Amino acid sequence: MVVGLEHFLILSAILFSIGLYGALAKRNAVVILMSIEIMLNAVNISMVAFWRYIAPALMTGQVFVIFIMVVAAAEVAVGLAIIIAIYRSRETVDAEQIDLMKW
Amino acid sequence: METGIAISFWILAAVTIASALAVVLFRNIFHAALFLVLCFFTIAGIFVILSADFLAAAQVLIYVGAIAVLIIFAIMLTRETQRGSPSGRLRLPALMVGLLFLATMVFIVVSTDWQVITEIPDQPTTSAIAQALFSGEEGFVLPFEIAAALLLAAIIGAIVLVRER
Amino acid sequence: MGILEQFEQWLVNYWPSWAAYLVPPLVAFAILSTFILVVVMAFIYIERRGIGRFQVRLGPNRAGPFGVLQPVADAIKVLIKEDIIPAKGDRWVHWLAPIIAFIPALMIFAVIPFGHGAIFADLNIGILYIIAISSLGIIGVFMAGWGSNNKYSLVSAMRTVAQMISYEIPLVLSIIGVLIITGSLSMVSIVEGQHVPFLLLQPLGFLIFFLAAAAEINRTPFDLLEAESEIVAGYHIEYSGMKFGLFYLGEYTHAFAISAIVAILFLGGWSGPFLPPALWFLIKVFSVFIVLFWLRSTLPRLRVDQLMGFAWKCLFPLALINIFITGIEAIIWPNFPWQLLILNILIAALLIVLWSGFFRVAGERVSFERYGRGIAKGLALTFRHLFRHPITVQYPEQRLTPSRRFRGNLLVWDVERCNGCRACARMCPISIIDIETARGDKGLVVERLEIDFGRCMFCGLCVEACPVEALFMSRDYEKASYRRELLVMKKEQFVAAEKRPSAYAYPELEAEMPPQTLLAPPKGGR
Repeated sequence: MVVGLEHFLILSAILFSIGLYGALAKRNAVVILMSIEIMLNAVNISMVAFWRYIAPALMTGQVFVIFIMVVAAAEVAVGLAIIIAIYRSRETVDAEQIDLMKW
Repeated sequence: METGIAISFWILAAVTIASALAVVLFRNIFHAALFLVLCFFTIAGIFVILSADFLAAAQVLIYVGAIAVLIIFAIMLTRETQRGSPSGRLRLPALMVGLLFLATMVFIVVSTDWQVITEIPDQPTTSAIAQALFSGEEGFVLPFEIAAALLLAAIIGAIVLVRER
Repeated sequence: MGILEQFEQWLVNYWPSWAAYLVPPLVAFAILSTFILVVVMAFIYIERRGIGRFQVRLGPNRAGPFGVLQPVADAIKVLIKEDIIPAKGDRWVHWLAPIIAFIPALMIFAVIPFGHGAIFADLNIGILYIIAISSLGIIGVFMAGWGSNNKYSLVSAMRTVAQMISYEIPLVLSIIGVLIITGSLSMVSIVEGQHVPFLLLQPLGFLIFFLAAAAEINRTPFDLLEAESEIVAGYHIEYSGMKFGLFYLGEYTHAFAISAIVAILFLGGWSGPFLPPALWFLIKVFSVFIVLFWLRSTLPRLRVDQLMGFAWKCLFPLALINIFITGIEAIIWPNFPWQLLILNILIAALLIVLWSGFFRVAGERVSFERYGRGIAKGLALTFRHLFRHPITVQYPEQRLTPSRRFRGNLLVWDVERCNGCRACARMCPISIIDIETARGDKGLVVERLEIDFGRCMFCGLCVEACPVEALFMSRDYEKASYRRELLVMKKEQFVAAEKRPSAYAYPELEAEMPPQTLLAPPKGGR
């Protein structure tokens, strides 16, 4: 069975859904961050698959993946810093307990 | 060669999905982080199948070598491992949203008529990426510089946030 | 095209395609593992003997001629030791950690060329692949630290992550200078692009890469994650048997890999006159490794803040400056003529001197004396030690003659003089002298005398207590046995024993006794 574009896209969609579920359902802030990373990776897979099967001559797909990686690295650095700062002041990283600003 | 790629794809895809599921389902948060590492690594393998070799190495270097390690580091620092990673009240709605999204995406992917180019791009991608990133008019020089500024801002921001006063 | 692909294409003619696809990597893996195992054993032997000589010792020399079988003996010992899993540890993580720490070191060798075309896969992203793969090892160390359920292990794991992430940055940046010159990431074209070894054309890059790589593989100036004196061997506290062996093997495999990478990037890989390429390559790899453990035998371990400061304040900016300078040179002289090496060496020397001038660690300025000339002086000293006579005493064959007045750990008992007063037994602070007397013709006669030398602490109070000088310390100092009861000396043994009293008791004996042997003879040799 030949592997084609659809396979990669469906794999990407499955990964994105798993990440979406994790980001919405989990309470631990670090796990939420991990789920977001899975979602970004899912997008990366579809980007590279589009580059490979639709426009191999243009490198735009791969360049976008590089930018996504940069943003992901920045996001993780800042996100984890925020989580650690919250943990220092509130002794928890439970997203449902960090609700001071909720009405 | 084609069968080899197919076999590799199915194995890698299965491991990727299983480890991604493990990340969101495991209660032991350290194990979840280790499965995240596995997930990132297999995604690098999928990049290799897609003949994006530079990106595969970058994936391992950035995601496995830096981001995953940073996440494990944060897990250690927040000491939340005893409490584990329980699901919140939104579990069922989240499951519904996830499945709905998956169904929509699969429907779109299957129903679209893709203009697929079959021949494999067989030249190394590194120099092509460099050309695309740095070449004059059509390149991404400005976004590249902005990305650099973003990274610098993120580093300084992270330092300021976690610095002990 | 690598050997692997050629093998695969040859195999396709005879076997079905899936077998031809699967078999070559497996065969390559088997050959590579065997080769690495042999080289690692050579490394372990050379390092242990070499460090011994650098420190004026002998090093292991018992197993086999010149001790060459020592690594084999170690391997056998490690294999048959009991495998312990901490009771409350994370069983699976603990079990997987050594494997995950070992595999990446092995995977590096897939892209290392041992000679012309002698490479398993000539990836065009070769060096990037190596950097990416070697960053995986951190995960294994972290898993070991976590799975052991031991606070020292965890401290070590945290140190590892901080150290590895910090040193990876100068490691990657220092390679970029080389990549600008060759214009390729492939290991083969990096070797072929070196008309002049990059050690000379990129001296600063070489220094940064070498130091950062030494930190990546945790060699001694940077081995904070093991630090026996602070965190008792760190993440491998809870490991024993084969799993510890795997860590050990992984460490040396990584050292081999790093030496090979240095040889390829900066020393011209397999190229060299007269000798066959593979031999040249191995010579270069072993020289790099010798320099690594030369550093190890010379420098003391850094403190944590010094370690991080060195990476971020010293190596990192210097690596950036190196890229900048190489970039400018690439614009002015695109072909990199060999005359450039004079300029580059000058720039490197200037930068090192300048940087050590205003770089501060823990509030103190690091002077050139301490970080430049100091290290050079230390290295020169250990190098001179190589040619000195080792002071090791090969104990059972060679023995030292103690001082003439040495008070040994056995007692000499004179049966004629003893009047059976039992003063010695009363004086003994730990009551190990058991003496029974009976009334004889001329006073008391000793019937039973037992002294337990397994417990004797050689205080000499019994000798002092004896009113008739019937008890002396001897000049012998060896008393050992596999059985506890053989250490208890009986009356008959005392009577039968050869009397070798210390000159402490008989000063008149002193003249005829041999002089004391000195370990470090005064000027003029032994």
